Amino acid sequence: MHAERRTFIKAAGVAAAAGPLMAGSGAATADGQTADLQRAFDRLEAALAGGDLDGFYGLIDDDAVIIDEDIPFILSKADFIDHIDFHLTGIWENFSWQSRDPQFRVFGNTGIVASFATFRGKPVDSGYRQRHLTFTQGWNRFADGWRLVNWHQSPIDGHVIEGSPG
Amino acid sequence: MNQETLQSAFKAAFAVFWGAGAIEDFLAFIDDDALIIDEDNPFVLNKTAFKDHLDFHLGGNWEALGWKAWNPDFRIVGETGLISSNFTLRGKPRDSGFRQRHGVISMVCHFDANSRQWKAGTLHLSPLLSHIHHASPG
Repeated sequence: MHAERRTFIKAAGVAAAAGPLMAGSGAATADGQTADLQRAFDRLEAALAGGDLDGFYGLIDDDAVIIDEDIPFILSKADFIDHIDFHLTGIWENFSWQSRDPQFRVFGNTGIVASFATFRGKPVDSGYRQRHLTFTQGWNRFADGWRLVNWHQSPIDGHVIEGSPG
Repeated sequence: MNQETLQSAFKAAFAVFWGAGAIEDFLAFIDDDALIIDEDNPFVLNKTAFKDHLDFHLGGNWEALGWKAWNPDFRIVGETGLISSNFTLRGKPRDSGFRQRHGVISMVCHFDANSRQWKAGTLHLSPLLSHIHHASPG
């Protein structure tokens, strides 16, 4: 089953890589402080786009806390993997996640990424869809490098974009 | 620099939204270089823009306004402090009925060597309204 999921996400990743935008591809300014963090973020996004689940999950710390826009609860890494697995059971013909102009900050050994993103794809037997998001990530620099410790995504359509009622 | 000090810093910073404390304490908890996503705006904000937005709300538009965290979780991963919680923003605007907004919040914090205080490098609030809670369209 896992082999099938990996094959599927790899196929989806090929489609994403062929698109006009590759995640984190130089849109953000990098300096000495943030270059390492940006490279780690680029690896995370490239692993997702390329279907490299081991590489993707390997960059997420086991104690990470995740709030995914697809779920209204606070998730552990294990919960997040379970949810990703649901999406990899063949219910999509293709999908991709792409950051838009990420910003980076480094405070000591804590790294921050904040940005917009678009999740887009085509489910099997249904029309394509896009979901536009804001997201923040927290990273920690360990002895062996940066790992993601927090990822919070929220769809823009839920943020306030209209007049207050009353 | 542990879970308890992180929790204490959070409580002191957010006391202003529970009827005690001062807005300056809340702002001091947020790093000057923080990146912020507030559920009331669809943009990534810096601290100056976030403060400007807070000033709008605290300038007399509300008769009452409170922010309540539900079951906040505090943890230290490496040197990074994580605060995650459900929340409710509730209050009564002037000349209108009360309202509530339920959401989730993440804060990623670092222990600032100069001030010897926890600081939030990011603050992300998102309304539950926007998280998926219905069937995928056919």
